[in-house]
Amino acid sequence: MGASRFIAPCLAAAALALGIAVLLRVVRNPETDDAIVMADMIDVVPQVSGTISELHVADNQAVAEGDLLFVVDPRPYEFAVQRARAEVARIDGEIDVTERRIEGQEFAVAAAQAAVRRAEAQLRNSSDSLERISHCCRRSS
Amino acid sequence: MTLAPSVNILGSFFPAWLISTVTGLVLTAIVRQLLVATDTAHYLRPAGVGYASVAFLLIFATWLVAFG
Repeated sequence: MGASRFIAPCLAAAALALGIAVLLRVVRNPETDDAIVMADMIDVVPQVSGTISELHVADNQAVAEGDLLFVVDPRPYEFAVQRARAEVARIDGEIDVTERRIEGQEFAVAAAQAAVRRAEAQLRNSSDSLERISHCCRRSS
Repeated sequence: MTLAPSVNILGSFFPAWLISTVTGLVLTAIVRQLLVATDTAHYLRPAGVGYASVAFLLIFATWLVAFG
């Protein structure tokens, strides 16, 4: 009968211990099916669209301004840059070809002007010859 | 205190703490009957402390086993 008076206090201590275990469990791993998150929500939106190729943060991780959160896949943009550079090179080549064509046409213009001058000189020469021959014919008749 | 998820019983949702409490009290009543039947109820004196402790013990144990 002497030991039996410790049963109730021992049961009370055990109940207290289990209560503390339950409390710790509830506090450390809270669960609910009807929760509202009390937190500041900030939408993070990149300036460019695309798929995310690297993620540098985990859930609930604290971050600071300037931290790298994720990497948007750069390959489509690198391809676009390469395509634009190729287009620039193609247009540069086209400019060279056009400049040579203009140069050739300037030479053709110069040649045509020279031909005009030569024809005019021939005309003057022929006119002079005609006048001289006409003059000789009139004098001999 | 944060509540554990509720349990759907016949279309009504009951919180885990309520289920644990009811289960623990029912088990305590069963323990009480067993102690009386075996003539060992006097070991739990003072009864207010003894049965309250048994009740809390069974309530918390039920919660830990079923929902912990």
